[in-house]
Amino acid sequence: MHEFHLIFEKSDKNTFQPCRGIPEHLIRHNLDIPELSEPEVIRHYTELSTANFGVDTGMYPLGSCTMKYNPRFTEHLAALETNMVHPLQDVSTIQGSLHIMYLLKHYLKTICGMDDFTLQPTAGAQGEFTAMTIIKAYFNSKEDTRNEVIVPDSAHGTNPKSAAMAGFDVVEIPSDEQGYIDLEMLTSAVSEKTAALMLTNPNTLGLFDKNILKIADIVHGAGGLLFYDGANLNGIIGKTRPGDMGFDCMNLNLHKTFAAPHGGGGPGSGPVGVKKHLAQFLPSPTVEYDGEKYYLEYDRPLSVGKMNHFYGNYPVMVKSLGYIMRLGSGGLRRIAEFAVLNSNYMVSRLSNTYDIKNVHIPRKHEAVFSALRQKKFDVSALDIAKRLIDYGVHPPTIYFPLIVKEALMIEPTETESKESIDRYCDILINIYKEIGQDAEVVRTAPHNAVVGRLDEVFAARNLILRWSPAE
Amino acid sequence: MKIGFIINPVAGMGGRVGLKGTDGLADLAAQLGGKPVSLKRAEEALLNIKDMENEIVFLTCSGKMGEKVLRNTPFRYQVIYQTPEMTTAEDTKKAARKMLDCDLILFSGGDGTACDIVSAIGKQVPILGIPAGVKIFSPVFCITPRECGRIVSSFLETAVKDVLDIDEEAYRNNELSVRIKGEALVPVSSAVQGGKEVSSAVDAKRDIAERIFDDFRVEGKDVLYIIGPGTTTMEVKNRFGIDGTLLGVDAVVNGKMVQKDACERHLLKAIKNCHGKVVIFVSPIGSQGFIFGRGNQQISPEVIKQADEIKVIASPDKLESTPTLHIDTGDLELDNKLRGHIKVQSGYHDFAMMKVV
Repeated sequence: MHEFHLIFEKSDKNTFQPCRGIPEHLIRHNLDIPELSEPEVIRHYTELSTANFGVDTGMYPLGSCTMKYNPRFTEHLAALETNMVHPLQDVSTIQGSLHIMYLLKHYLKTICGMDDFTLQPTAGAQGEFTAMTIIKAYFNSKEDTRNEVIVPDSAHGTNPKSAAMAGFDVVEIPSDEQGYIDLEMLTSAVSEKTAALMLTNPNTLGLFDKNILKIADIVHGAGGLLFYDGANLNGIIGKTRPGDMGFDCMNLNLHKTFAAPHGGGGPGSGPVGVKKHLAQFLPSPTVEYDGEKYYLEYDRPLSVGKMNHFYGNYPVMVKSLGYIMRLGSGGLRRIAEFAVLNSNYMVSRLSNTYDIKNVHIPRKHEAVFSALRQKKFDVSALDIAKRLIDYGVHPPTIYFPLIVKEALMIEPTETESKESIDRYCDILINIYKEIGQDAEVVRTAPHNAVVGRLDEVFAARNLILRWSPAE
Repeated sequence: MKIGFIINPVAGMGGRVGLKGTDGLADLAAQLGGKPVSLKRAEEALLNIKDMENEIVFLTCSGKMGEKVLRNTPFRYQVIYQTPEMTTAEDTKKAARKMLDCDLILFSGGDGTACDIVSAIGKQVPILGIPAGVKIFSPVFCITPRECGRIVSSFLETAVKDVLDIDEEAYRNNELSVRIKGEALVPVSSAVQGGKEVSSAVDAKRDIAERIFDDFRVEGKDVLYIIGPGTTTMEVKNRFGIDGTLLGVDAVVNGKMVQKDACERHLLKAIKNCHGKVVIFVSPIGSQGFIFGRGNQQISPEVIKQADEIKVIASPDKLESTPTLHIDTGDLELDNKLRGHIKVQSGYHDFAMMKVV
C-alpha cells in the first residue's frame, strides 16, 4: 500500500528565513508551518487527489442522495464568460441572467406541477426550511395558530429538524408493515393543530405510496397543507408531478435530480415550489417578466423575506437549465424510466443474498436491503460497506432509513450501465460468500484502501480536531 | 479502564424451578435443584470483550462472586472483597461500595442485584448488567452476554435509566406489581443502539421538561399537574423546582407542590380543590411500556376519569425499546376507552404517535 504523508511531514524544519527588517522581538522562530517549494506543493495535493473517491472514479450509489454522473457540457455552460456578472449590476445589464432564472423557474413549475418557484435556497434542507417558513406565514396571515407538522418515521432526518427550526412541533407517525403511511395512524394524528404533513414519495424505501390522494384528502380535510420533499424526484420525473398528487409546496435538489455536482463538489441549490395560495409568501425578490423586460420584484409585503444573499447559487441554475433543455421532456421521462429499471434490476440480482422486505413490490429509484442475515455471522452493514471499498466502489448509505435494521440503501441512478450495476452486484454477492468462508476478512476491511479500518470508538473518545507537532 | 465486576452467585437459580425470583429463597431454590447460571453467563460476556486485555483492569470479589470466572479469562484483576461462604444482598452492596473509583461496574444477576448495587452506589458509577436473573425488567441489562462484551468495548456516553423490581411475594401469587427502585447510570453504546440520536436521552428528558414548564408559564394558571413516577417525570419535577419524589406521584398547582408522594385519596382531594384543568403526566414504566397500572397505581381509574388531559412523555430511546404502549388500570371500560393511538412527547418540539393496546 502506498503511504501518504502529511504536508508537515514532508517539510524540512526551520529553513524558513524571516524577511529582513522585522524587529527581533516580533519574529517567531519555531513556526510550525510546512516549508515546501511550489512543485512540491502541487505534487502533494495531486497525490492526495488520487486518494479521493468521486462519481467520476466509480459507481457511487448513495441511496437517497442521488449521486449521478454530471455531464460535462453543463460545466462548460456555467463557465461561459457571459455568466461573469455581478449581483449588484443594474438589472438592465443582466437581462440574460434573469432570463435564464426565469426560464428555469418556468421549467421547474411545469415539471413539478407548481404555480411558482423561488431559486434562492442553496441546499435541500434550506429549501425545506424555506417551505416550512412559508407555511408558517400562510397560517399567520389567516390568524390560525396551527403548530404541528406530521412527519413519517421513514422521512429524511432533515424534515423534522426543518419543521422544528421554523417553530413547529413535530409529530412522528410510524409507517405501516410495508413502509407506507399508516392511514389509520395519520387520521388519528391530524387535528385542528395540524399545519402540514411532510412527505417523500417515492419514500426512502424506494416505494411509491399509491394512497397519496387519500393522504392529501385527510390532511387537507383537517385544514393542513402538504409539503413534498423533492430528494427522490429522480424516481418519478416526467411521469407524475407533486402538484398533481395534491402537494401544496415542495423543495428540489438541483444537485441531485438536475445533475449539478453534489456533496463536497457542490455547491447545492434547493429551489422551492408553491401552489397559488402560497405564492405571495415566497422569499424576495422574485424574478419576473413584464412582457418586455425581466426584473426583480421586491415589493412583496407578505414575503417571508430573504433566505439567502442575492439570488442563490446562480452557476448551479445555469447547469440545471442546460441539462433540462438538452434532455427535453422525453429525456427527462427517460431519467425516471432508467432509474427505476436499474434499481429493480439490482433488486432482482441481490434479493437472494441480501434480505429485502416485500420484494414483489416494484421499487422506484432505490431499494433498501437489510444485512440481518449477515449479522448472524457477526458481520454488520458497516463491515460490508467497508469491504466494498476494497473492491474500488463506493459503499451505499447505511443504517438509514432507521426503520430497517442493518440497512443498506442502494440507488444506482439512471446513469449507470447494466455492466457497472452487474459489477456492483457481483461484488456484493462475492462479499456474501466471503462472509461464509472467512468473515474476519470482511469484519476487518478495508485492506486495500489508503486508510485502513478506523477505530471510531477511539476517535470519538479521544477527539483531536487539529494537527499538532509530534512530541 | 477500571471495571468493577460482581457476580451474584445465586441469581437465576429460582427461575427454572418456578420460584419467580430468588430473593430470600436461595436455599429453597438449591434444594429444588436450581443451578447457578450467573457464573457461566458472566464468563461468556467477559470472553466477548475483544482486544482490550491490555486496557482493562478488573476489581472484583474472591471466589464465586468474581475471581473464579476472571481466572479463566485473559484479563488482569485485583481482588478487593473477600466473599463469604454464604452470600447475601449485603455482600453485593459492600463490594459495590469498594468500586467507586471504577469507570463501570459490570454485574451478573437480575433486577434484585441491580437494585442492591444502585442502593449502594446510586449514580456515582455507571452499571451494566449481564442478564442472569429470573426477572429482567430494568433497562440496565444488555440483551445477551455477547452484546455485553461489545458495549464495554464501545460505549461512549451514559444515560440515566430507571431500575425496576417487582414485588416477588405478590408475583408468586400471580400479581404483577412493578415498582421503580431507583436510578442508575447506564452506558449507551452505538454498537447496540445504532446511531447517536438515541444516545442523548438525558438531553431529551431535559428538553421535555423545559417545554412542559414553558407551556405552564403560558397557560398553566390554576392547572393541577399530577406527575407520575420515573426518571423522565422527575426531570419535570426538577424543572418546576419542587422537591418531588422519584418513585411516587406528586401534585402541583401554580408551580407549588400541593401533595408530595400522593395516594389515590390525596389526588381525588386535590382534584376536588382544583379551580382549573387537571392534567396527568406519565411516562411508560421500564422497558414494558405500561402507561397506567404498573408502578403508578395511585393514579387510579377514578383519578384518570376526572382528568382533562393525559400527557405521555418519554425519551426517544425509551420509545425505541417500547414500540407499543400498554394500559391496565383494572377498569376494563376505561382501558378500552384509552386504547388506540396516543401522542407521546419525546423532546421540546418532538412528538410521536404510538399505539396503545
